[in-house]
Amino acid sequence: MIRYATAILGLFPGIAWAADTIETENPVANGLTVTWTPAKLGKAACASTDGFDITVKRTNISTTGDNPQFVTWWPGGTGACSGTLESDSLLGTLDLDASDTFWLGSTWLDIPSDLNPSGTVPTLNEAIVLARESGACTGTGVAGTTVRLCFAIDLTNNNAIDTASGTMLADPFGWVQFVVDTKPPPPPESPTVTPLDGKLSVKITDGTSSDSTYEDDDVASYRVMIRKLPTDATEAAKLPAEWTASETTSATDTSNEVTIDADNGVEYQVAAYALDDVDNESPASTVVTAKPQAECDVAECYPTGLLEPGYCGAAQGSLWGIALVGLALGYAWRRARVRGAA
Amino acid sequence: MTRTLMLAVCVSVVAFALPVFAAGNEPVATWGLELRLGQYRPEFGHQSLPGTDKTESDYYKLYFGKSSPIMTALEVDRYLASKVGLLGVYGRVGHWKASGKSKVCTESGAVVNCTSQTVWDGADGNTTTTFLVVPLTVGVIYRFDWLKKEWAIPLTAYGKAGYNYYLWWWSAGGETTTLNGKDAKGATGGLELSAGLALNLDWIEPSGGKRGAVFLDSNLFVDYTRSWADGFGDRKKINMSADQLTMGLSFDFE
Repeated sequence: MIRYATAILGLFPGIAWAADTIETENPVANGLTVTWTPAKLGKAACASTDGFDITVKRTNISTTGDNPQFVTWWPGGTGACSGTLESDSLLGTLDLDASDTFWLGSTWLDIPSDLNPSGTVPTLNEAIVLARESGACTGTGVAGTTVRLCFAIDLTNNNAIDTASGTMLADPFGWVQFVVDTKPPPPPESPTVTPLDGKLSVKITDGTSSDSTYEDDDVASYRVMIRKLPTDATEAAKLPAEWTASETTSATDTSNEVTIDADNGVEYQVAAYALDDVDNESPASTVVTAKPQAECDVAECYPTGLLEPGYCGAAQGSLWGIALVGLALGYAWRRARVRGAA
Repeated sequence: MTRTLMLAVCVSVVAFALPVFAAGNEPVATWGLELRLGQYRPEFGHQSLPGTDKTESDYYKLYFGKSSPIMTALEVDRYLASKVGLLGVYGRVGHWKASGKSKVCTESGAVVNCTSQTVWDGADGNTTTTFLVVPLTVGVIYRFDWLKKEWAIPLTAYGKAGYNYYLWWWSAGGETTTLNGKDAKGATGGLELSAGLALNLDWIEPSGGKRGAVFLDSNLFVDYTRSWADGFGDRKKINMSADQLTMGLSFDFE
């Protein structure tokens, strides 16, 4: 039974873990199991209203009576999720009494939708979490910083988080964490484009930069964007950021050689981008032009009808023959040896 | 066709499972393994190509040149008898690939589509086109190791006769291309004969030939193979026939 709920939001100051561990399940000690997505947050999360998919399940704790138990969430914390809360650090609470199915082990709590069910569900989205991480969405961004959301369940005295003193007590607690990376890779060097038959093959070399806005050596994939070269010089001079979506085609690959379909005989402008593992995208490379060309492979130019693909029906007779000869040979030798031994 | 292949597989399994008959207490080889390397270039065909003075063989050279890429193969031998020499059956699978460039044709400086007539004047394009062959062979093998056993001369002559089935694929840019509206892949069957000589390497591996050794014999061999793989006269099959000089290492196991 839900008795009451409250929701506040805040962060511990100075949260930063060096470890870049990606986890989406945390069998926390103290009897709780937590799962969550996403594991990583990129620069796009700074403006994202997407929520999180967080669930909590009891594993080996049990209620000690009919006292209210509070699921208490607050963003941030150190590795042990202990310390002093800021005054606005409490995300929300949920009163679970002894009859709640949570204690029967069959219920997962969905966070934050299960908090404050009788009132306003606290807002918890990617932008809110990153807004509390210093520098994540401002200035030069951060690379590989870990942010945690901590929670606790009070078993004894209804104050897993003492909201008055802001101190977390020794009740079951846990956390979910997200790696925050809001630095994109630097723009790639000018790509090398090889025109193929109905395709362009774009070879991309990682760029480097002394600009602290970018993170070197952090490329997970590449995107190539092409558009037909406009006949109007002003239009053709536009940077890739100004190209309209309707006139462009893109292809993405984890290899630094990206192949993209294009029409033979048409000249294209080509730009390349580098992306890290949270899809932070670099600025565009310099633009190059290329024109796919009609090519004739070994099959296309073979005179029609002279050669028939497919498998060999004539093999049947010979296979039978070889099979029988092999069997007869083995049998004959066996008989000969048996007679010899006798 | 599937049933025939299944039968062939079954017969091969039975043959490979038959026991070896030999007299005396000397350890006798019952299995053999060959690692083979040899140059290969298929004859490809001798038909004239319509509208040109070229042949199928010329067409192969246009795309893949005159080189003979290396074919690698793995062969397993099962010896069934060892009265005078070793008599058995063998199965082999190989791998061979030739690569070239697709062709680009131009007319008055502009790129145009090639045809089977104009392709001969085309220049190399940027797309790699590939001819992949996986030959499968089953047959009978005889190794005359009497000189080694009786006179300690480390030479073994051998001969093989087999049926081969060359699976092939044509691709461009890493994808199977099309021929006459179908996937450009197929197979050609045929026969082959081999003769070879193996130099025993016991002087390098003295423990060879004794019970408990990893292998009984190891040999460095060279053989000549003539294959007639033209689909038994089917002119619409790629002619995979070739003369092949192969060398490699072989091991015999108890």
